[in-house]
Amino acid sequence: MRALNKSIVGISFFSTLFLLAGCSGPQVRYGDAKAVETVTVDYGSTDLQSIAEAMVRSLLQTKVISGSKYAPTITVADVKNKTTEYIDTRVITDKIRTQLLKSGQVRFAVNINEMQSQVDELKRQNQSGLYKSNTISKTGNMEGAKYRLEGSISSIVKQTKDVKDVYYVFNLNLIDNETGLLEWADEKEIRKSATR
Amino acid sequence: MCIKNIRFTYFVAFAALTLFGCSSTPPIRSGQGLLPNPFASKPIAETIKEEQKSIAVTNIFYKKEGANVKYVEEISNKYDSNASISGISGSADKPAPESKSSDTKDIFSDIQTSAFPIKFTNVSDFKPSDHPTIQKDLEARLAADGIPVPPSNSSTPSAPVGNITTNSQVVKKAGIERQAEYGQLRSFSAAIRGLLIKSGYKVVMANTAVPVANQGDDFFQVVERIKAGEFNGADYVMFGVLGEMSFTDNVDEIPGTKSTSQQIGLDLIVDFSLIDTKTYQVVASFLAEGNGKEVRIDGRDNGFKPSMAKLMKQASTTLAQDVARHLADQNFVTSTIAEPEIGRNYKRNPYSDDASTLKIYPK
Repeated sequence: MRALNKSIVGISFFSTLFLLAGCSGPQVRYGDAKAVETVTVDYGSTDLQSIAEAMVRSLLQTKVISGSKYAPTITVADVKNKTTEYIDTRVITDKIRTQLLKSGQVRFAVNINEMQSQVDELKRQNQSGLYKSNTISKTGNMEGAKYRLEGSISSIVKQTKDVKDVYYVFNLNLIDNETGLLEWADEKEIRKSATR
Repeated sequence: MCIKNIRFTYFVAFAALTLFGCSSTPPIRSGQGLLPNPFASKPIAETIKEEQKSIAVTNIFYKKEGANVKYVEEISNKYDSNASISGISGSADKPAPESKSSDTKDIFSDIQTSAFPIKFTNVSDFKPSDHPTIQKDLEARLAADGIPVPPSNSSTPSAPVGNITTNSQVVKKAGIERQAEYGQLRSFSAAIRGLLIKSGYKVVMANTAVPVANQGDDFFQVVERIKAGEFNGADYVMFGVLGEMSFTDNVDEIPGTKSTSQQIGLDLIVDFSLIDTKTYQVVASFLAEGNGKEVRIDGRDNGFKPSMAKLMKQASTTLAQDVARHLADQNFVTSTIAEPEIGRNYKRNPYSDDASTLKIYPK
């Protein structure tokens, strides 16, 4: 009888424990944002980081930037996604821009996607009549960018029953807006394979 | 052998003396026996400053030319009277006593009107029929006024009134009316005078030039003006003549936004000469540009009206800056005044403001 009671208590304890464990949410952990991610062969965070790092390193070594006394002004134009995947190319250019700005070697003018907010702010300050004239950021004094950054990302995908191979190539060009001359260009290649 | 050596020594000595005698005279040092070069290392500008010579800056002279298309219709009345009125038989051309001798109808008075007195010249060289657009417009205007379009020099005899017969004659005249207006722009020279004062020059005021009736191009004869003493004894005269002045109003879309920008601009080009009033030598000459700009976002949609005063001030300031640049090129002002230090885009050290950077302060 005693043994039976013990076993009943034990069973009910473990069943309660299992039930509680089943009701709890997923486990959350913070990971290293820079850790290599190999979940799938699709474009991922490691690709983004390696592209940005390679481009920034190469760009800062170019004569146009390293040999200039003044920090040249650059604007970011379009980076075309020529792959079959959805890739937010603005994230790539934003990352490159952030790292370049941190270097202190270049300055960035607002790009076309940021123009609406820039124009709205100028209009608010200059045309609402609400601001002191000596504190207004005046219309007509925006600084034009000397260079623009534009590029593309393309991919070649090959797949068999057991193997999937993806090749990415990211191109970035620095173009002189006045002369139209290509002052700098570089590319970053990435190959990823997955086997079953 | 010894004799040979002595001969050789004599020969060398003789040759050396001959060569020395034949050698060219040393070059004359600069400034000795040569005319002073006004563009030599010491610029005229320094001389002007050192000798406290004065400069008069004129207002900017201009000539505005225009051509109006004019149409004039003259109606003259002929009276055939018999003896019962005048006592003189026969006919005589007389203007109607109660009416004007000619009834002039100015059709194109709204085209390029000018308050300046003009001379109506060369009527015969313009025929509206040669210009289909003008002819069409002319006919439309006449039709709108209820006036039939008569052929040129038409003569319309009217019904006799009592024993007086009137004969009206309509003469159409059309031509191009040319006009020229001379004057001075007074709002663009103050900044230039200020610049010269800042550079250390003595600046005197020039008299205002007033155009006379039927003024011709002698308005720009600066030498005559110097001779007439219009510059109050100034040693140099900075004489400016307006090349072109234009007012622009453009609207463009702003890429990447839903807005447009209205850009209103005032641009002028002035031909400047700096003239020595003693010798009439032109010591500096250049073409300077000034422009004023006002930009209004969505201005056209909101019926924005620009401030001419603001545009003129900007144009005047930029004109003075351009004058300064040209004068600096020709050694008249220092480059620091010509190009004031503006915020340079120096590269910054990314670690300079980093709190973690070790900073060592000297005691």
